[in-house]
Amino acid sequence: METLIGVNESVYIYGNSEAAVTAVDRVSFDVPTNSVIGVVGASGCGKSTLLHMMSGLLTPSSGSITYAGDDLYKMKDKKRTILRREQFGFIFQAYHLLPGLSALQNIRLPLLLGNKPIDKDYENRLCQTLQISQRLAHYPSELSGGQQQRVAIARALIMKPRVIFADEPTGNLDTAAKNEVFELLLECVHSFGSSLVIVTHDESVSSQIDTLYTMSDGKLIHKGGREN
Amino acid sequence: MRSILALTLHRLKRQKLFTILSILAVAIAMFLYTISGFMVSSLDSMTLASIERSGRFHAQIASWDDTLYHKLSDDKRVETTALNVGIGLLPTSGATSIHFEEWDATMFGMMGLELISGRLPGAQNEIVLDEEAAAFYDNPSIGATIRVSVPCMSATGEIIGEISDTFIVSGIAEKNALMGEVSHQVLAVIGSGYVEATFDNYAEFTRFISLRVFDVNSLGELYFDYGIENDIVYENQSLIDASSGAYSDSNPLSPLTIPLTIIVAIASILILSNIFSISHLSRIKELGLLRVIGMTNGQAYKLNMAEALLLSCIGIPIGLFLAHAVSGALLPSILIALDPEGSLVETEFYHLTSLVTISFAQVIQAIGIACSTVVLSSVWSTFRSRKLDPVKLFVNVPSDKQRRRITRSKRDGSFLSLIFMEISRDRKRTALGISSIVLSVTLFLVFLNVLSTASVDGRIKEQMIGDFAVYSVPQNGERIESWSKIEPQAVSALVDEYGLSAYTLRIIYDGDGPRAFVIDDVRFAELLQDANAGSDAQGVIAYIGCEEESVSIDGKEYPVIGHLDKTFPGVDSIYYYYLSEAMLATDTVPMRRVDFKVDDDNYDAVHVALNSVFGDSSSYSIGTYTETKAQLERELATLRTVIYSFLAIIMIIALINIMNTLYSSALLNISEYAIERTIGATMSQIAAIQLLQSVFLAGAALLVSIPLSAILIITLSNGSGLSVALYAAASAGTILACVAASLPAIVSLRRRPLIDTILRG
Repeated sequence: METLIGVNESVYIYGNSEAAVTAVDRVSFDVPTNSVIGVVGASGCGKSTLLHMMSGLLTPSSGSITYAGDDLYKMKDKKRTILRREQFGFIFQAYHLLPGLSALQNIRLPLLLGNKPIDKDYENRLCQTLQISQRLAHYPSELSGGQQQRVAIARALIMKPRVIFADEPTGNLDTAAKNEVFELLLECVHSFGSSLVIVTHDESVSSQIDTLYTMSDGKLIHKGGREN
Repeated sequence: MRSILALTLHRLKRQKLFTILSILAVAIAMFLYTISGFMVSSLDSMTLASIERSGRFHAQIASWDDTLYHKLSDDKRVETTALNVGIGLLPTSGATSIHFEEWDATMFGMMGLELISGRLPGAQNEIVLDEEAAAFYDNPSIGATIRVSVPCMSATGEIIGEISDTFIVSGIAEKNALMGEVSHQVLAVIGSGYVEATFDNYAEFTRFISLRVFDVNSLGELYFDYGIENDIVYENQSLIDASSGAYSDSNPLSPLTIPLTIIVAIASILILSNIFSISHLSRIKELGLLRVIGMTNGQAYKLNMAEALLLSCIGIPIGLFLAHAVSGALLPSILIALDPEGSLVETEFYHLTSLVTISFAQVIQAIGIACSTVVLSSVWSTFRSRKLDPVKLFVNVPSDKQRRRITRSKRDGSFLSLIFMEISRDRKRTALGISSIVLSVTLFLVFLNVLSTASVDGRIKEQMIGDFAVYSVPQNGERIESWSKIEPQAVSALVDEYGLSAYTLRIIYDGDGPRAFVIDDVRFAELLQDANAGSDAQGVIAYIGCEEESVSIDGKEYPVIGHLDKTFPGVDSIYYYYLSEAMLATDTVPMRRVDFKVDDDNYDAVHVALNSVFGDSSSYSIGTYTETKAQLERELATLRTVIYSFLAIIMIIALINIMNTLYSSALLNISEYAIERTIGATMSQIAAIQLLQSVFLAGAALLVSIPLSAILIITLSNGSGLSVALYAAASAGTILACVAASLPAIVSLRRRPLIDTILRG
């Protein structure tokens, strides 16, 4: 399969001198198209930092991250921003919806920023799949955690991105909601033909992930998942 | 209490930006409080000095009779410490005589040149001369006899007699600082003390009396005791106020102090409230946690108050220091840079020291107001801290009330929804921001008006109007026309027409036209021409020492019909004091200078003439009309520069206040901007959102502040307002400040990792 994202000997160090902490230590792996990649590990092992580097939010201290063969961090900021908007989708543990916008406005926000027309059919299908059609007029503070995360997933998918980056997407949810949201996320990814890079500390999801990396002290130490 | 203090210090140290902003806001408030009082009092003293310099008389009684005069002279010899008596034009026919019955005058004289000073301690026909007068009479010894004589002329300029009397010098007293009224009238008795004399055969209409009363309360007594009707009295209210120390009560600037302080206080409270509330919101979880683990309402209250007071303790000294630095160092530096020799500032008109002094009372007052401002500013955030449910604070869940308030915006899918998202979501903060801008702009514009229009141009115009008052001399006991004033434009025309070099001009009408012009002291040639209502002069009064029978003025020969003092070709006016060789030769008048203002063409001739008489002397100086005018303009320019320096400071402060408020608000949005950036908003889009938000706030604020300022200014200035250009400049400055306030948040967003901004704000 074609390599969509390449992580090459990437390192990220927080702080400097004696207080420096190596969060990601010479990590290398590829994200193929139409795949589901998982990174699991204990809290503080560096998995979120790795995700942020892969998604163009955090410049690595050394090494490189490529997208479709182009180095993400050698691109100009504007090009990288447009790439994030059109090719990437983001889902965070804390949802990070804009509180001043309704659920529908939050979902449409990337379209608005990219000045893209609204594909009503796709939007309806997405909302029906995520079961939020009845809650679109509500504001984030009026939604439950599970509903907010579904809105965040819809926002991540509205631009039909090639990759979705999910950072502990079910971390704030109870077991029932967690399973429901995760299944919906996978369903969406498969339905809409995106790749998914998911960071989680919950290894119970490994059975549904194509390739699962285990991370410890900033290093990838194990490769598993359905393909392995 | 120690735990509260420790928590307070911890919070202030952790939130450095908030601490710095708060201290800055307190310091600015303190600076404004101090400097505004200082500015008003400085302008007070400048205006006061101006009034005192130009004031000629306290009251002028336009119609009086001998009975009144005698009553005045008899009864007021004790109560009235100074009394100037001027007698109008003499009748053209009939015998004229004056008899000095009794006097206690310190100074009197004739024709504006014949001045002696003295007082009579008891016996009739004895006089105590002051040093100046003694010098004039060649320092007579005690017991010597001097003869005081004044020429009498008709309205047509004809000498019709002489009034004289003989006195025995009974003593030499220190020089009295008073200067008698100098009048052009053919006969004028000028006394700055008590004078009693009998005037025979003087037509009633020719008389008026000028009172220069230093115990101003006696003015009222004079009116009351002698039944002088108010409608025949023209009072020089500015001078009366200045002399009585009541100037500050009547000064139009003084009432402004209170509204200015209120505006400064409200603006400061809003700005500080905004900063405190933003700090409160950003720490709401921390506060919730403290409440969950047992902090009481009282402790929450104390925590906020301690924080506010601690900030005051730092901000107030900084503000005080700034105010003193500006008034004590910056202002003199500006003045010295403008006027290295200090000739313009250190004059009898303006004293540098009076411009740079902030009184202790002003400092105490400012500290009190600043402390109150800080405490009031923290009330809202304190109230919120106490009222909110601790669990909700901790988890940051909006209350039912807050939920209901959430705007259900109809705008969707438009870029505007992003711009107005923040504005419409937190309406209180938006209102707070707009109010801060409104008050900053209003503050600036009102100060602009106070300092420029009301204080310099306006006050000078007002003063000029007063000095150039045109009034009529009553005829046959009836007023010919009411007292009226002329506009500055008319004054300018007169100045141009007559080539005046100073702005103290009095024009006397007798109903048929200008009877005479008095320009400072004397303007010889024109005086005689104008005294004949425009006809040619009958003759001139030559200077003492002039042996010619006629004098050529402007190519025309005039017969000499009287003698004054000296001859100085081309001299058209003498300022301040009569010049005599005796005066200049003696050290008894060391502080007095004689300034000759001459036409440019005659400068050399005058210089030669003066030099031949006096040699090189510091007792006189010669200035051409052009030089004199230029000096006045420089003096005004210096004043204006000082005022505009103040304005620049006020403008910078107002802009900092606006920036402070908007910057604080922009920082609250930064996490949301980072989210937008993450999902694909470019920096230019974020910048556009933030800038448009700021411009909207500025626009909304200007819509309120401009009309508000205009109303305030027009009300306070009695109808005069600022020019449209100044309003436009203030508006442009406000919009620029709002835009500039957006930049730090945008720069911060660019420089920090996005994920860091999302997680930590």
